[in-house]
Amino acid sequence: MIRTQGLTKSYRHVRAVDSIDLDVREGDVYGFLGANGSGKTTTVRMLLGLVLASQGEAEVLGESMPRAAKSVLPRIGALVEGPGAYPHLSGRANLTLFDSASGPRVRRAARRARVREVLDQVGLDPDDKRPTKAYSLGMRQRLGLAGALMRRPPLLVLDEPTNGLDPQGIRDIRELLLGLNRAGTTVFLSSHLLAEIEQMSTRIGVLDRGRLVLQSDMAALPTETGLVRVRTPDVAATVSLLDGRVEHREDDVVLVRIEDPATLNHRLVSAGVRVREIAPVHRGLEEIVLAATETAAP
Amino acid sequence: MIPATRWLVVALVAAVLASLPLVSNAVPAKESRIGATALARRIHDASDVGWSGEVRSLGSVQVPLSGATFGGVARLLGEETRLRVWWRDPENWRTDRLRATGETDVVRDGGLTAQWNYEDNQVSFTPYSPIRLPGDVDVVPAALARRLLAGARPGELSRLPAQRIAGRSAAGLRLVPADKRSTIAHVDVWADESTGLPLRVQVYAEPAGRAPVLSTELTSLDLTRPTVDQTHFTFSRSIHYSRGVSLDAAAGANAYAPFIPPDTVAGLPRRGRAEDFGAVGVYGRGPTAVLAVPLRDSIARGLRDQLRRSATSKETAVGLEIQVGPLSVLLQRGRRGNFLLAGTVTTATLETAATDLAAGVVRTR
Amino acid sequence: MIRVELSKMLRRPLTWVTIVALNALPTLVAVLLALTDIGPRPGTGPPFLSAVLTDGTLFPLAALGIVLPLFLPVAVAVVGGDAIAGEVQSDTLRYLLVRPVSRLRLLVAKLTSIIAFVVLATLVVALVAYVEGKLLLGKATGGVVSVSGSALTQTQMAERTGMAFVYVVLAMLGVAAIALLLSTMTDSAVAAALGTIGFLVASTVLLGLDAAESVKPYLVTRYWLSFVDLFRDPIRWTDVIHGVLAQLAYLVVFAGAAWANFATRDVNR
Repeated sequence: MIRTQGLTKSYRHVRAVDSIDLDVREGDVYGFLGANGSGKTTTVRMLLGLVLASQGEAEVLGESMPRAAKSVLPRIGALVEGPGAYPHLSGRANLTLFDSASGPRVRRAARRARVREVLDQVGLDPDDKRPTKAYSLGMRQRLGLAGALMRRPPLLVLDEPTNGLDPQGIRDIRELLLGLNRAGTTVFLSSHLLAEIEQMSTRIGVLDRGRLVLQSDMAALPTETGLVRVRTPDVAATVSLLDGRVEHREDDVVLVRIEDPATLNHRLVSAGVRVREIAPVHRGLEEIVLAATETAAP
Repeated sequence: MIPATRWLVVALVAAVLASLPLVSNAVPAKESRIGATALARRIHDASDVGWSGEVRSLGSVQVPLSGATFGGVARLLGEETRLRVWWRDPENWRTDRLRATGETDVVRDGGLTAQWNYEDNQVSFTPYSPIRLPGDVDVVPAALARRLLAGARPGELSRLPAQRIAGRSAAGLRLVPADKRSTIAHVDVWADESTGLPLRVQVYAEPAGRAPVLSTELTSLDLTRPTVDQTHFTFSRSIHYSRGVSLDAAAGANAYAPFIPPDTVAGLPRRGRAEDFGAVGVYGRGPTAVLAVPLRDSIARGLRDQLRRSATSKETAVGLEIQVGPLSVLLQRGRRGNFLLAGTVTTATLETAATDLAAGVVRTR
Repeated sequence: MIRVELSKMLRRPLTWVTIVALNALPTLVAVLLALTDIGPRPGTGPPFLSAVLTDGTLFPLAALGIVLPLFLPVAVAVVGGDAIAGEVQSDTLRYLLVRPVSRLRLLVAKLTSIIAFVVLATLVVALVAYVEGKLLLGKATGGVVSVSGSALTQTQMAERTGMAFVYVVLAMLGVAAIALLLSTMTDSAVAAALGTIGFLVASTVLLGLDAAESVKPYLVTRYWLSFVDLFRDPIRWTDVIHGVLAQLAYLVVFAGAAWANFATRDVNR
C-alpha cells in the first residue's frame, strides 16, 4: 500500500528525513514510531504530497506520489498533525464542506446520511449545532478522524490520532480502528506512544533522527532473549545443578540461559528441585526500539 | 513544470505587459525636410485645422497669487492642467478642464462664451472679449504656439529633430528670441507633419535648462473636425444660470477703465487693435511680451497684500516688484491709478515700461 | 470548489463585519451632510459629494467614491490576505489539499470568492447609500446633471451607474491578486493584509510625487477614481480603459506569481 525508496527531505543543511524505505502491506496496522522531531510528520506529509521530497520515490496505493495525487488521495483518509476545522461552523457543516470541496458528485441526502454515520462512529453527536471553536481538543480529534473516514478509504494515514483523548476515548478509537482493519482497511499509524503502537500494530517502523532504524512485522520481532526465569524455594540446588548457565539470582528467582524451557523444567524436576514458576523471558517493544535506536546512534 | 520555469513564465508575462504602454510612442518619428521658416508659416496657417483631443500642460513657475481673480493664472503657470479639447476653429471650441472630482468647461460659441463649473452647479454666459486673463485655452498647444511664434523672424528660427507625439510624427521648431530684454531662452514647438497642427510647446527660461518652465502637449489627437453639437453647449435645466459682462469679472471691469495706454513702452510696440483692448495694453513680440492692466483700488489692494507676503517681492521707486522664473510682475501705484504690469522681460525692462506707461497714459474722463 | 469557497465566504463573520464597517463612513458622511448642509469646496473631497446636496440619488456614487480610495481596498486586503494564510491558521489548508483539491483550483476559487466579496460589499454600500440619499439628502427636480453640465436621462444614468459599479469592482482586482500572492507567501493572514496595504500606501505616495512620473501608469491606484469619467459628457473612455487594462495586468502577473509560488510550496503547517 505504501512503499518508499530512499525518500529524503533536506532543509538547507539538515536532513529531516534521511533515505527511508517504508514498506506497508495491505491489511497492516503499521505502527510508525519515533520521538517528536524524528521526521514522522514530514514523512507523512511527503506521502500525502503536502511536502515535496528532495530525493527518492514514494508509491502509495500502487501509484507514484505526488504525481498521481489526484487518483491516490481520494482513496486515503488522513489526519495530519492535529485536526483542522473552520472554527465558526459546526462539526457537521465542516464535514459537509470538506467533502464537497472536491471529488465525485455526491447526492446531498447521501452525503448528509454519511456525515451522521461517521460522526456517530467516532462518538460525536450528529445533532450538535455548536461551532467547533467550542469543542474540546478530544472532540476536535474525533471530528478529524470522522473527516478521514468520510469516504470509506482503503488506506488510513493517521498522525497521532489519540492525541488529546481521555483513556476511554483512546480505547474507543482503538476499537474503531481495529474494527476497520478487520474489515479490510490498511492503517498507517504514526505515534510517539510505544504502548499505543504495541497494542494495535501488526507491523512497525521506527524512525530515529530521520533514519528508519527498524522495520519488521510484530510477529517477527526478535523478542527471544534465550533466558528462562525460574522461581523456586531451592535456589542453592538450582544454582549448583545449572552452574555456568545461571545469569542472575535474586531471592527465590533465578535467570537461566537456555534455549528450551521444557528441557530445563525436565532437568530441574528430575533432580528433585521444586519449581514454583518457570517461563521464558521476552523482550518488550520498548527494549527492542531502544536497542535499535542505540545501535543506530553514531 | 519546475518552480524556476513557473517564475520565469510569470516574469516574462510581467515584462511584456509592462512594455505595452511604451509601444505606441516607440515607433520612430519620420524626419521631415521642411525648412524652419516654412514650418513656422505652416503652423500659423494651421489655425483652421479642426481637431479634438486631450492636452496635458505642466507649469513650474510658482506665482504667489491666489483667489478668484489671479488664482487661475497661478494654476496654469505652476501646476498640471488636463484638458479635453474640441476645436472647430479659433472662434468655436470647447475646453473641459478635468479634475478628479469634477470639471470646469469653457465653451466659445462665436461671440459668446460659457463657463461651467460642476461643483458650483453653475454656468455663466458672457460675450466674447479678447480682454481677459490667461485661461485654459491659452495652454492648448495650437493657441500657445501661434501666440509665441507671432512675428518671429527667420534668424530666430531653427529646426529640431522630429518626435512622435500622440502617435503622430511631429516636426520640431526652435525659436530663440533675439530681443535681449526677453527672459525666455527659447521656445520649442513640435507640429504635426501633415497638417502643421502644433502638438507640443515647451518654453525654457535658461539656455541650457533641463526642464521647461511651461510644457504643454497633446496626449491624444483626433484630426476630424468636431461637429457643431460637440462644441455647442447643451445644459441641463436644473443648473444655475448667470450672465456676465466678462469672463473674469475683475479684469473685465478694469478693461473699461477710462484710460488709453501709450503705443509703445520700453521700446515694445502695442499689439492688436487698440479698440479691442480698451484700457489694457499688450506689448511686445512673440515670447517677449508685456501686459499692462489698470486695476481698481480694491483689487489692487488685495493683490498688493498677496505680493507683499511673498519673500521675493521688493519695493522700488516704481512700484512693488516680484520675479518668479521668467515672469516679472510690477504693481504700480501712480497718480492716475493702479497698473499691473507683467511680462516675460527683465525687471529693468519692466521698470522702464512702467515709467513709460505712467508718462504716456491718457485719462479719458 | 468555487461553490464551497463562496459558501464559506458568506458564512464567515469576518465578511459581514467588514461590510458593516464599510458602510459606517458613508452613513456618517450622509448624516453630517444632512445636518450641516455644507459640501466640500470644489476640487477637494471625494467626487460627487458636492452634488449630493442637491441630488440625493447621486449618493451611491459618492459613497463609492468615499470607500474606494481607502476602505474598500483595505477590506479587500484583509479578506484576500486571509485566503491561503487563513486556511493555514485554522489548520484546514492541509485537509483541503489531501481531499484532494488541486492547488491551482484552490487559488482560482479563492480569487473568485474575493471578487464575489467585492461585488457583495460594493452592492451593499451602493444600496445602503441609495436609501440614505433618498431619506436624508437633496431631492432634485430637474433630472441628473452630468459632470459636464448636460442633462442625463434615467436610462443613461442607470447605464453609467452600472458601468461605474463594474469599474469599482474591477479596480479591486489588482489588490485582490496582490493580497492573494502575499497570502501564499506567509502563514499569517494579518501579515499578508498589512503587506498589501503597505503596497497600496506606497502606490498612493508615488502617485503624488512629480518625480515618479515615469512609473505612474504602472501604479495600481493610478486609475481608481477614473469612474468619475463615466459621468462626463461625452464619456471619457481613455482612463477607464487604461484602468481596466492595468487591473487585468496586475491580476495576471500577481495571480500568476501566487500560482508560481504556491504550486510546489511545502505545506508545513
